[in-house]
Amino acid sequence: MVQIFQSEHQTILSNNLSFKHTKPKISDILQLANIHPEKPISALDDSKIYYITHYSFYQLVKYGSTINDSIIQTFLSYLKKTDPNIYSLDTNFYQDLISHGWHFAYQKYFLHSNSFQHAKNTKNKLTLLSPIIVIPLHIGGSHWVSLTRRIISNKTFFFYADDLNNPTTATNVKNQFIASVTSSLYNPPDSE
Amino acid sequence: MICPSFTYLPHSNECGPRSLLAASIYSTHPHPSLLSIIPVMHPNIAQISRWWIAKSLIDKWVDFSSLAPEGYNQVSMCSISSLTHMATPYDTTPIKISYQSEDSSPQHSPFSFSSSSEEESKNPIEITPLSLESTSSQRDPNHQSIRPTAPPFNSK
Repeated sequence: MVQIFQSEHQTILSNNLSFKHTKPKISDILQLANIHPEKPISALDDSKIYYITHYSFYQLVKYGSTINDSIIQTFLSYLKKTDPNIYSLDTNFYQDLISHGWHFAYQKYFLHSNSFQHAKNTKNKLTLLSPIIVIPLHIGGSHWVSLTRRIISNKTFFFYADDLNNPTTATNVKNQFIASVTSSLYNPPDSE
Repeated sequence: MICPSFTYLPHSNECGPRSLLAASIYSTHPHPSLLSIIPVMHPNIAQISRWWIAKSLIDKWVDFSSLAPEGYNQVSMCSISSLTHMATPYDTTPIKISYQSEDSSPQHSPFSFSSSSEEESKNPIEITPLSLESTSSQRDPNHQSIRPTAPPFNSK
């Protein structure tokens, strides 16, 4: 009897996969993670770029699980709704900065006359003069830290936050963002 | 600016949610400072930040009102057993742990307890982390609870 009820419930949930007109319930999404783990949550695909699957949402709320970059990118896109001055860089920005250098990362992610098509196609049209830039950093393939660049009273501030408070990670990140490596316009000498 | 916060143990891979939490605060705070993130710290911050992000994704709007400590009960109001996890702040571990090796200079986090005098370093003050278990175990056994007693019931 319980199995029949569960199968019927799963069928109903599967038929109601498209929450396009209604706000989905977290409990329904968590149940759907067992049925269609890799299927994206249709109600959350506003950006049409980053798809949050049921399983990735399940991982978000599960204790001890890691979260993937689609969660971070989608959240940052919603954060921009609260303040249009908030821009965010892609989660791959830091890897490209380390691997290919500042010039490549600048052309790929910042909008200017010589930028790549990637920067022109994205909805996040950020420039070096953007007042608030959120930079999610994926460190060592297993750790997320955040760097927020703000321009307050014509002065640039970098706010670095690491929940582990690891000084080595902070030093490595700082070395990747010093003015000589990036750009004096992006990281002015008087920045903090 | 390296913005310090509490590191809670056991660490539960909450770096992603907590980095988003920190980024949200530092990007929207009218006067951001080094300690802007401290007011939202909580022993259950790992799960609070996870469910706050989940709620924001569902609502398609980042609601900062639930980040206030008095709003934590609303965010945590769910029947998932994992929400009951309460981590211990790393920075409130006993101070003698920092002095295990005398040769190396102790490295304190900005919020760890530091002792300057030599007497204190020789006899460090043991500060146990606050938790429900410790408070219950440290309770004086001879302590009598002051509970109002009901007047005797007359069965007549």
